[in-house]
Amino acid sequence: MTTPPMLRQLRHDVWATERLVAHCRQLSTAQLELTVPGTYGTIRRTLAHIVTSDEGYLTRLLGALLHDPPFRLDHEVTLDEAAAHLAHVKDGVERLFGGGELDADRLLRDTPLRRPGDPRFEMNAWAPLTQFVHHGSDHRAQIETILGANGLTTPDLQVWPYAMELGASREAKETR
Amino acid sequence: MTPPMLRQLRHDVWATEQLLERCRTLSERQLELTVPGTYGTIRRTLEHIVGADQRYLSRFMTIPEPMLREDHDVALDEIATQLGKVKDGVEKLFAGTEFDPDRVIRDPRRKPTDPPLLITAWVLVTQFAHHGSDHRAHIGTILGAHGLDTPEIDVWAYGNANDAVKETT
Repeated sequence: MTTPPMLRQLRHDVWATERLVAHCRQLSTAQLELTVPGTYGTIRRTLAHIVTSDEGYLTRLLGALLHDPPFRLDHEVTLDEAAAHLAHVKDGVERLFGGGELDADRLLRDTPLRRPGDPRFEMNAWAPLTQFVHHGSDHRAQIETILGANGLTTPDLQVWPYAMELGASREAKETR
Repeated sequence: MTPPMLRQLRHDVWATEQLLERCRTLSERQLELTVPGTYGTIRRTLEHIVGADQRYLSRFMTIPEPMLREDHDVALDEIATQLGKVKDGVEKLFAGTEFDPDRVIRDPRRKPTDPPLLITAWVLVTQFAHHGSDHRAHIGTILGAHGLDTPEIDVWAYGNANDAVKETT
């Protein structure tokens, strides 16, 4: 059976964040607090923001909390914590596509994460799905900028190495 | 139902269009701004986004010549014209018969002695979406670092513009 292209996209996104978290584990505590102007914030804070947001998008799409209490960005998140929650994200992505392609036009009327007094947003399912992908690449790029600007190595998070790992991009056996 | 992947790519093109429009208000000197850790200048990064988009699509179809070449500084008008071809290509890719993500594409290498690459179709569209957000983030960082306004190009803004995200009472 064909894997839905959006599931491929989300799997790459989670893979890229996993790889970035693993890379950041080699950094010192002081390096995790590095930032540069024009980005979201420190490396640690940006990683936490990526993962809490991913959980937020999935909660809205699945219509149920991934766990209770939800993961919120209301404290200094450790890399272990971010990694543990990224596993929830990974499971949530697979559950979302458990029945094959999802109905992207479905109207989502609310999110279980909404707190009393917060505005309610209605949206078609494709919106948080598309935002998931955009948001991850956007903020991972900021972390890579921080690393590069501070003379630190950056991991290759593009789809090329991911596809090579899966055998979905490979050299033909013959020469031309 | 509009394929979700087409939604993703439409957002991507829209975001690049919005960013390009924002950059049209910059001076020639501001277009040459950069910061360490990003791809390069604002102008070169815009060129790279659109040039790469064309190369991804060219694995599926013929892009009308001349395609965008990244070997010199290109005017924003020219980048916008080339982005129009990307927009058409994205629609063409999903028009008619259903897009087959498992189709294997034989891709000749730049160095003729290297064996061709066999790339599964989903790899190219996934990279398209990743690559755009990645490099637009660089431009956002450059603008922000120099105290310049950054446009809202996330999917919430796109959804609002397309009546797909609404605040309700």
